[in-house]
Amino acid sequence: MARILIVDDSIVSRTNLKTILLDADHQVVGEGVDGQDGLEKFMALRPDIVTMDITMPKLNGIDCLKAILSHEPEAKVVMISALGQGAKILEAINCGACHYITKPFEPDKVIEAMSELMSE
Amino acid sequence: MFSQFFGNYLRKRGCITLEQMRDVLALQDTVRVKLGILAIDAGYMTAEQVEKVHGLQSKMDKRFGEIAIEQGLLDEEKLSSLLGQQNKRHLFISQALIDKGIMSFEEFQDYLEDYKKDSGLSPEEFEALKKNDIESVTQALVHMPELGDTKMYVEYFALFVRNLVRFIDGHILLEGAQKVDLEDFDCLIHQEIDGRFKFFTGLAGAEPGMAEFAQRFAKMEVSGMDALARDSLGEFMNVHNGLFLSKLSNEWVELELLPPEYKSGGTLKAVGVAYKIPFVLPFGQFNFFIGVGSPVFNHR
Repeated sequence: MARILIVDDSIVSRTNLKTILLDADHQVVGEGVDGQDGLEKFMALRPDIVTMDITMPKLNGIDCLKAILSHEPEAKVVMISALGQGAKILEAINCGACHYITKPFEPDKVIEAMSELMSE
Repeated sequence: MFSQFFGNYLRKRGCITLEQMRDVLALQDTVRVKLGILAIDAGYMTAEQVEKVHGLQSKMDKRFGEIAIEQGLLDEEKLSSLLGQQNKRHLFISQALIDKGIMSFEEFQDYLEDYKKDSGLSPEEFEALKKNDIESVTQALVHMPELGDTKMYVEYFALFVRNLVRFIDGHILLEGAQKVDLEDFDCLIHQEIDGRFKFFTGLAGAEPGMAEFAQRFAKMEVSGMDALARDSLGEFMNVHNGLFLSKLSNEWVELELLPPEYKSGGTLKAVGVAYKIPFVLPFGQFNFFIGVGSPVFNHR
């Protein structure tokens, strides 16, 4: 079981992801509604894994990823994006993201990504 | 999909009312298509022959197929073929209309023949409609000649229809594409796509229908066009357009999705060429917009 922070400005997306994670016995320790909120919650909660939407207001997912890694270089951040955003996913991976998941969520792939990160 | 099209044709001809059409469309998932309808649709029997078998059925304890074979109206091979087609979804509306006494077998036979002629579809396209072949139906019905890369936009819209079926509702009635310049909307979610092709897409409708649409996609209860409903519509656009961009990416065309935006009570003014494609779902009427460049929006 992992302690996971979900950062996404979409409540629909957060809820869907949370349902998948809880069904797989993970613990969702918090939810960030934008990049700034996500960074603050990361600092306060220190989760095992962060799921990070790419396109968000205030602080976008890639800038939030960079900020988190500057505080905690070993942080495990999984990027979330709609399909078709290959360039942004690549940029995030180059910046230090560990993994990525595309929407619409496929539960098996989400669980697989979490398992891979927890086994590292 | 055929049921919606055929039902709408019957409605426009004045053969059934809008209420009757809605009633039978709501019933269609529970209706079992019987051999008589299948035999007429396949051209194996006439309406008169089907009525004759039904008449005999009321006098003897035998099945439709048995009587039809005894009377020399069907052979074993044709009966076997019909029995294998009882899950043909396109005939559900016809069966429901006959079961409710709104239409006779003879009328069904005549209207079906008329619809084949009046639809303007080729025999192949008509078969595609019956088989619910979304790609072919979209190509047959949606013409947007001034958009340039017509094939790409038609493929885009076919994907939109598939996503409607996947996420929202499978009972869709499409109208033909219409070129637009200035268009009023009640509620609109739109998203622009940037890169080698720069175009916008949008979905508009009245508030109750858009809220129901949002609720179905989110699988969460919404209250009118509240924040959750707006968010859900945006996510639908993200998911749909993302799937399309992913497909293009496989063909080495990289485009960028801009964040979806929600607007209410306004007017969309096309700057370049734009089309709307009206469509109807069981819970409302909608317009899908697609056009090149960025449109201008004004509040009414």
